[in-house]
Amino acid sequence: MEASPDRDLILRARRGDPEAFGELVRAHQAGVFNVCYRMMGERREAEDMAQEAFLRAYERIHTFDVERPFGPWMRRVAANVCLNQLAAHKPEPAELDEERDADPAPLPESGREVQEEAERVRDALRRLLPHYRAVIELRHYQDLSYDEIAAELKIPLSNVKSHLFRARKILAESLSHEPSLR
Amino acid sequence: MNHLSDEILNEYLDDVLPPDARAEVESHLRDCADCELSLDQLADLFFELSALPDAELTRDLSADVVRTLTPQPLPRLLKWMALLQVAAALTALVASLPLLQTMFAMDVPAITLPTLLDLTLRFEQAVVEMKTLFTPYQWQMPRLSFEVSSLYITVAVFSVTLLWLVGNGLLLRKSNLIRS
Ligand SMILES: [Zn+2]
Repeated sequence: MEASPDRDLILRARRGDPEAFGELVRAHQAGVFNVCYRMMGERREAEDMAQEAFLRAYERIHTFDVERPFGPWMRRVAANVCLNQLAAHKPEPAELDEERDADPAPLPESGREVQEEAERVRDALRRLLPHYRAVIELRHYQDLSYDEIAAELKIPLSNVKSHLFRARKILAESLSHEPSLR
Repeated sequence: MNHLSDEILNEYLDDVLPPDARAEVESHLRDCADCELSLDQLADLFFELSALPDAELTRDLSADVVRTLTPQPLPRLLKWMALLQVAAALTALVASLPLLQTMFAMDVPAITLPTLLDLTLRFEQAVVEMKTLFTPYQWQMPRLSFEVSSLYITVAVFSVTLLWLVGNGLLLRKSNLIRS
């Protein structure tokens, strides 16, 4: 495998160079934020969690194999940080609804449909239990295998499957109940 | 013929079935409209999930992260306090030097092995004494069976000072006071 392009930055960060780590943050923050947005369901909270994920990654940067790509590792860390946060204090559904915010930049008419569809999917994800959300995130957005998900979430393979299949069933139901765009 | 289970349909779309099981699923799907419909619905969900566009991050997180990771210099008051403490410690160290000198000049055997053994014995005696003194109904301060001499005090002051200097030196170095 090709060496990570972030290799030098990671090595510098390991030697205690926060600026080098800052460059890694700039390069990967968009992807990490989106993991957190799908997991947390709320922009502001997703930004906080993304920041938290980077800090956590910095603490653990010595455990990271520099020959591997940094992005996927960082996104797995982010998913875990969000899951822990969600498991620690489950927010009231009402609270989420209140804080929910539309995308700040209003899109032109052509983008409206896309945005509405995205909002429908995000809503459905938000309604899932944290563990279900995590397996959906890792399988559908981070392309992890069942085994990799089991290792990442430290749960048995059988739970990975049951959570994943159950989560998909719930998602399919909540997405089909709402008016389809097709 | 049994229909395909949810689990099999999921595993089929996740592409984790062995080739023979996969072939079986495909042959069933060719003949069964019900299962084909279920599969299509599940595939639709896969598509819907993958079609979710990324949201745009509207602020740069790196500045906050870097700020959190960069050691902050001590506040001014703390800085002065620390310097004051260093001065006090140095004074204490200098003040204890004559005592120390006397100690080493007169009591060199004081830190030899027999003395240590003697100290251990005394300590054990003190422990035994404490045990006899301690009853469930009454507590009395344990008396040490040896006198607290200026020698012990000197050694104590000296070692505490040394510990303090080393400990605070490390702390200050870590908090960038010395570097800045
Ligand atoms: Zn069938």
